[in-house]
Amino acid sequence: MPREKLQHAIGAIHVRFGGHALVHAARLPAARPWPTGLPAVDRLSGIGGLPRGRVSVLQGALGAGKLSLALAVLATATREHAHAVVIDRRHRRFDPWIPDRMGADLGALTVVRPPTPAVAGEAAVALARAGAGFTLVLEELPEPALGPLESAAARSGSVVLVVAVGGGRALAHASSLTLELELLGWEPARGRLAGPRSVLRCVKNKLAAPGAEAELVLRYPRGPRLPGAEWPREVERTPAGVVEPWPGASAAV
Amino acid sequence: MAGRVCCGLIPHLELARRPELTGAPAVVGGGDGRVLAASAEAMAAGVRPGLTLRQAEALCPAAAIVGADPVATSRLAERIAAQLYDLAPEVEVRLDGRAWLDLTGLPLPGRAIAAARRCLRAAAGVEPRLGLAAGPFAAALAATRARPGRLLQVEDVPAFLSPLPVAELDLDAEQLERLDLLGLRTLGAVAALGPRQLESQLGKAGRTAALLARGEEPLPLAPWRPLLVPGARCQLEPPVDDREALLFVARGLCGDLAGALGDRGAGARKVRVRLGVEDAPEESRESVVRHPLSSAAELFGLVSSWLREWRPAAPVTEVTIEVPELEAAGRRQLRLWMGGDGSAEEVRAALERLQDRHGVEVALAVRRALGTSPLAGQRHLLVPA
Amino acid sequence: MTQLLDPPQPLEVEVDDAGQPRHVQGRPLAGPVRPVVRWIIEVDWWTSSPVSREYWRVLLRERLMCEIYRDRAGGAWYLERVYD
Repeated sequence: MPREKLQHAIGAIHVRFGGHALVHAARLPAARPWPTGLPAVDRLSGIGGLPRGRVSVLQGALGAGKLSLALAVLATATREHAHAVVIDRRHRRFDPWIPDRMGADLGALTVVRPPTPAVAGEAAVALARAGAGFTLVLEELPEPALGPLESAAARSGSVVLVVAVGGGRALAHASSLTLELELLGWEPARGRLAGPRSVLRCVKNKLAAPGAEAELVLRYPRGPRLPGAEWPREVERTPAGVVEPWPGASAAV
Repeated sequence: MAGRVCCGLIPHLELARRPELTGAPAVVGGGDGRVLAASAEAMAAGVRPGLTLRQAEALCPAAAIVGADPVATSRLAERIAAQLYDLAPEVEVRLDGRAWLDLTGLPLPGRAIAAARRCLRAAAGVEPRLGLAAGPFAAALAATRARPGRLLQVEDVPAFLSPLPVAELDLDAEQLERLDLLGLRTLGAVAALGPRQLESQLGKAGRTAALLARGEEPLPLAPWRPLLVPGARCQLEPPVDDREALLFVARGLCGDLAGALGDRGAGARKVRVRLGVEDAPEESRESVVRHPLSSAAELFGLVSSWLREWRPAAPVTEVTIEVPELEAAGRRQLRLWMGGDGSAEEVRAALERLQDRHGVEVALAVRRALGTSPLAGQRHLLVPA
Repeated sequence: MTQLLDPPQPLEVEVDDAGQPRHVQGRPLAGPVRPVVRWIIEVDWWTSSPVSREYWRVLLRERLMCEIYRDRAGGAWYLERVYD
C-alpha cells in the first residue's frame, strides 16, 4: 500500500477510535513477560517469559513437538489465568487429556471450535479485546485478523500464542516473538523411543536479541494409560551440559 | 415485654433452593449416601433424615433424589439472614429451614414478623409457618404446629411444651431409647424429672434436655453477623471433617469472590480464611500477597495450599474466605493495560456473543468423563460453555 | 502433544510375518513405519457396542510418531493420533 494511503488510513482510525486503536509496533509499551514455567521458552524470549500484549508464534514441521510445548504452556496458563482459551480450528485436533495430565485447571479452560477460518480470526480478536489471559491458536489465522489481533492484545495485555507449521508472511510480521522447533532425531529410553529431540530457536524477537537456542527432549507416554509423573517431561540440555528437570511436571499426578 | 423470639419454618434450604421440586416427593442425598432432607410428601411416606438413600427409595419410589450442594445452599442461607438482619438485631438462619428473629426491644414486633414472613415466602416459594414464644426452642416447636402462613403464639410455654413428645428434643436414637425405658415419653415428664436427674442418666445432653423441656431456653441463638469485608461464607451441616469436601467448598467460595472482585475491578492484597469448628474456638489464617489475586484460580491456589496443611481441632461447621484488603480499581485498570486478566464478565460476554452468532458449540468447556479410560474419546466431554 | 483425529482416518497397513505394521498408506500419511509400542484395548465388552482394538505406536519415515489401531472385530486399520 502506498505510504501516503497507509498514513491516511492510520490517521483515519486514530480520529474515529482514539489513539489506542492502532499503535505502531515501535510505540507499543514495553512488554511485560509472562513466565511459562518452561525454562527454555522463558530464556529464549530474552525477557523471562512470553510477552503480554503481543502475539507470539511457535512454529516447526509436523512431528517436531511444537504442539506438545504449546500444550505445556497452556496447562500453566490455566493455573495462572482466570481464562485460558484454545482456538482449535480443525475438529478434535485438541485433546484435553494432555493438558489435564499436565495439571491444567480445566475450569479455566475454554475450547473454541470455529467452523471457518474467518470465525477463528473473529474469536481470537474478540477474546483478546475482552482481555482473556491466555489464548492458544492452533492454526494460522486469516490475514485480515492479524492486525486487529495485535492491537487488541496490546490494549488488553493478553498473551497470544499461535502454533503454525511454517510462518506465512503476515503472521511473521504480526509476531513479536517467533520460536522455531526443529526435529533432530528420536530419543530412545529403556529400549523404546521416548520422544523427539529437537532444537528450539528464537528466530524473531522484537523485545530482545534473537538467535538464542536450546535443545529439548520431550517424553511421550509409553502406553494408553499414563504411568505418572514421568510424562510429559522436557529435559533441557544447557550449553554447560547440565540436565534440568522440568518444574511442575510432578504436580500433574 | 419479656424477650420474644419468632421462628419461621420453611422447607430445608436444599429443597427451598429448588422450586422445581415443590409439591412432589423429593429427597436430598448428603455425600454420605444418607438422606439429608426430605420434602413433606416424601416424609409422609416415611422418609426421614438419616436413612440411607436406598431405604428412602424403598419407602418412596416416586421420590426424586437429588444431590446436596452445600455452597449454593449456604449462599441462600446467607441471603435470607442478610434480609432478616434488617428486621431484628439478632437473627439466626439454619440450613434445615428454621429462621429465628429475636424481637426483644423492637417497638413494632408485628411489623418485623410480617416482613419476615414475606422474606421467607419469597425465598422458599411457599408460605412459612411461624411461631412466637419466649425463647427459640419453644418458638420453633410452635412454628411446626402453625399452619402455613400463620403465626402460633405461645403464652404459657411450660403448658405448651408439656404434652409434646420427647422426639422433639435433639437427642440421638440411643438417648431417646433410654428415656423410653425410663418411662419418659413427653416433655412434661422430662421436665418433672429435672435437670439433675437427667444429667445423671444422659450426661450433659440430658441436663440440656430437661432445661429445654421446662421452657428455660438454655441454648441462645447463634447470631448471624454480616461480613464486614468482602468475603464468602459457607455453613456446613452436618459439620465436615473431610479435606476433599473442604477443598470443594473453598473452590466454590473462591469462584464467588473472584466474581465479586471482577465486578469491582479489584484484586485482593490480603486473604483470610476462617474455619468455624465444632465446640471449639474459630481458627483462621491470613496473609498479605505481593501480587494481587483476582481470579478464582489464583485465590484457590492460595486457599487450597493452606487447607491442605490445616488440621482443625474438630469437624468444620463453617468456612469463610475474606479479602480485607483490596487493590484500588483505578490501579487495576492500569494493570490491565500493562498486562493482566480482563474481567471475567467481559470474557464471558465475548464467548456468549460468539455463541449467539455461530451456535453454542463454538465455545466449549471441558469436563472430565471417564478420566482413566484407555479410549481417548471417552476421557473428556466438551460441553457448551 | 498430539493431534487427535476424530473420526480416525482409515488406513491401509502392510504387516510382516509377526503381525507388526511395516508400511501404511492413507491420507494424509503414507510410508514405511517402525513399530515402537503395542497394546490392546477391550472396553464396553458388556454392552451391545464393545470396542476391541490393537493399538500400535509407530514411527513413520523415522520422523513422525503416530498411533494407529486395528479394529479386531472388522480388521480395518485407522490412524488415530499424530504426535507433534
